[in-house]
Amino acid sequence: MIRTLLGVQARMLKHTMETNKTGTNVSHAIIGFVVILFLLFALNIVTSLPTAYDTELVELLFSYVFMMVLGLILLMGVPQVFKHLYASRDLTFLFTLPIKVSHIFWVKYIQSFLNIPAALFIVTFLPGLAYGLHAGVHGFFYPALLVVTLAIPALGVAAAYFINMGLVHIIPAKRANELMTVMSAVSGVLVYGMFQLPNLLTEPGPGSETALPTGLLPEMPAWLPMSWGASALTSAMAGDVSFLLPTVGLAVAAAGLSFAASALVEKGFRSGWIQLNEGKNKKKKAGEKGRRFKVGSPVAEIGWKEWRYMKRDIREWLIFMPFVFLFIFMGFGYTAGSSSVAAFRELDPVLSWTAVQAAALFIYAFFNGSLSASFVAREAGSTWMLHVLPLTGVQIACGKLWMSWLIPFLPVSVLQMTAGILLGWPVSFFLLGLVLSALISPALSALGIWTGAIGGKYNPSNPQNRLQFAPSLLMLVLSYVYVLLTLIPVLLVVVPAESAGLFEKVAGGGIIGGSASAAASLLQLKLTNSALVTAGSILVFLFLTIGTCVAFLYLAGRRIEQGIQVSMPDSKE
Amino acid sequence: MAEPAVMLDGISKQYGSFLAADNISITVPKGELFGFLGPNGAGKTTTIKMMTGLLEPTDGTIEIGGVDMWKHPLQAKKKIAYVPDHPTLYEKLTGWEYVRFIASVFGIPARQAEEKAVRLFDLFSLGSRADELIEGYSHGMKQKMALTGALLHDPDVIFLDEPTVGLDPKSAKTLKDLLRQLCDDGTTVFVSTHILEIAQEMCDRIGIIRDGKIAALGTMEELRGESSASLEDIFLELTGDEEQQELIRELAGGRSDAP
Repeated sequence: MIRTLLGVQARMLKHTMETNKTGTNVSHAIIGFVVILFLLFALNIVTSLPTAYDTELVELLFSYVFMMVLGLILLMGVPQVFKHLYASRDLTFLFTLPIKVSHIFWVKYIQSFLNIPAALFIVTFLPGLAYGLHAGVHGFFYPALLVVTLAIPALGVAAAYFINMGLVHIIPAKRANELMTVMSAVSGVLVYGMFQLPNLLTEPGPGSETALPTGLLPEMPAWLPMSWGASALTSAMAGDVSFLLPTVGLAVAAAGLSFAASALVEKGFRSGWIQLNEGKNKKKKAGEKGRRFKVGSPVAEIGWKEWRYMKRDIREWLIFMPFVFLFIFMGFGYTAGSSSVAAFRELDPVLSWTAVQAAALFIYAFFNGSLSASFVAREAGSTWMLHVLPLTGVQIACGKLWMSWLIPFLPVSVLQMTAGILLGWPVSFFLLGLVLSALISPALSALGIWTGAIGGKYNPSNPQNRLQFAPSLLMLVLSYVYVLLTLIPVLLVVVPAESAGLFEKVAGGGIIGGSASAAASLLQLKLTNSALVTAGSILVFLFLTIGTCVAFLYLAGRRIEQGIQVSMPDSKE
Repeated sequence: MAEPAVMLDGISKQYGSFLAADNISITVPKGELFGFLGPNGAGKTTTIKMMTGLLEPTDGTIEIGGVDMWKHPLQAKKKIAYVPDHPTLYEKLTGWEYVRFIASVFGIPARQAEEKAVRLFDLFSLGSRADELIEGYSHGMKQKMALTGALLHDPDVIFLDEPTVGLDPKSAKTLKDLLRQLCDDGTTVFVSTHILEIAQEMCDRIGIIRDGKIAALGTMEELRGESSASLEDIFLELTGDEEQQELIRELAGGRSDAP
């Protein structure tokens, strides 16, 4: 039966590829090409390594490679296994057929393995093989490499299954829709924890950080499976028979954990699926008792509708993930580096203000477009309603614009003001920063709405990915080009005319030299006629920001009126 | 004939070499309940989508109350309401929030919209669930919520695609009575259905579409002509179902317990 089910899956995959749009197949081909390039790159690196090696160094290197493999599998595998086990559309059908639940489970298990884990097996096994041949290691290395590079991903998949089947019983069924988000968060925490393991478990002291010449990485505790794999491979390379124990141990652990997961089939898989599907239709009160019926403008209502959608579905919050990571990294860099608030306070307010504005604009350029594009893509199945209602495309675009602009604008402005208080800016700097952000950022949101209208994609399980590949790339490029262009008139106002000499030194040919000579000429003009250049810069700035916003709103509106087609990939895969 | 509420003049829709709708001309007068029938894939939904502004016809014109749907879409859309067969509503809104959204779009005063919504919620037995998110509704309830939204602004023309799919018998009866009442009060209803009894019982006139072309158009009496055939007989005759009937007989003959 497992063979039959796998055969069906293979045929479905074949037909999906045959019926995919050309664009989808092209993106798959590009991904394949990138993987092959990466593989060739890795092969090139390992074959150029010296053939004489330091055993300790190689062992540590292997153990970190295996940790990365496990980390990647957990990071991507936990949510993916959830999809396979509990969110596949075919389960409703398969559970009605006379098929053993364990058979369905194993098919799902194999499917999970033949995905990222299989790819990781290939990208670790082949370079390992190449290195072995290049360094002329002992023959034991090759079977050990095969077993270890297979066992490590298998361990990761088994762990992902255990985590899913356990959590599905802990999390309330009525939160089934949000479970995927929880799984993503759990996998993130797990991976973070795993990468901290060597730090946490290694006793600080002499010799604990000396395995690498850089002395940066702590040693991996010997009882971790990554260390078993590494130890097996280094022993096998030297022809030491002791490689057998960790190799067999790892294989047994992977197989044992996989079979232990399969033993939980009834409890974890079948009953978990039932529990989630029962929970799906549970009543969900919005708690609006004592409401007052109000009617707003259509534009305002469209914005509020988007806000309610975001607020009520935790999955939608995934869109903030890059935003949150950005803040964590920036905050970490700020506090962990040699700099401190006190040191920053020493900076000239003009410099600190410029740095903060640049950071804010970077965030807007990075975030606004994808957020507003998701507001369009979210319409997906309900696009019919917008078309039937007496609304112009521009009205719809404006409705989505104001809310998608406000959501990032409020927190970023609060952060800007906090930074200003910490860095001791004068009041005029606060106001100028807010005005700048308020003028520059709407066009980025408008650009996102237009991009969403031309290339929206909707998969409820993957809310942070609401754009097709090419439009998302276009949006990213246009966002940064726009921000850079708007900064030219801003800098022309801010930079003192006396700095013209500095630019003249750099002036010359090429992009940088050309830009510098243009800047020098403009600053020279400012030196002679400051009012004209300042007024002209402000006008150009307003034209660029307002003009771009209006232009993209108009284009988005037209596109919406022509009819938007949101691509809806099967949420199963 | 009363003034036309819907007028289709030679509309066609072509996808590559496939003609989904072929030179369709229909005029539906004000206050008529018009039934649109046809086998699966005949072009019913395509035609309705063109009438509601969801699909642009390759050729021909569509007028709603004298307003060209594709030249003046906003004016035309103010006059209509559309309920598809599987309405995908805004699932993260509550019933009340959905009504508020529709009222805002059509600019209906709050008090008027609230009173109308309460009446429609009562009619469709949705009152007790109107504060819940639409995602928790059954298919039938979603259908009724879509109908509530459609009727909120007193449209001149209502387009319904398979409106009774998913409705319980009581709701289906309520809907049928309501549609009849609306037509008697001057609203025009254009309904596509597979349920021939509904068409036969309720509709003033019936259009049958096959392979994108109008195969028959008229009242029940006009369609019957001299015969006493039922709508089912007429439908099967027009849509060429003889081969299928023969196949059914053959299949039934192959079973030992066949009647």
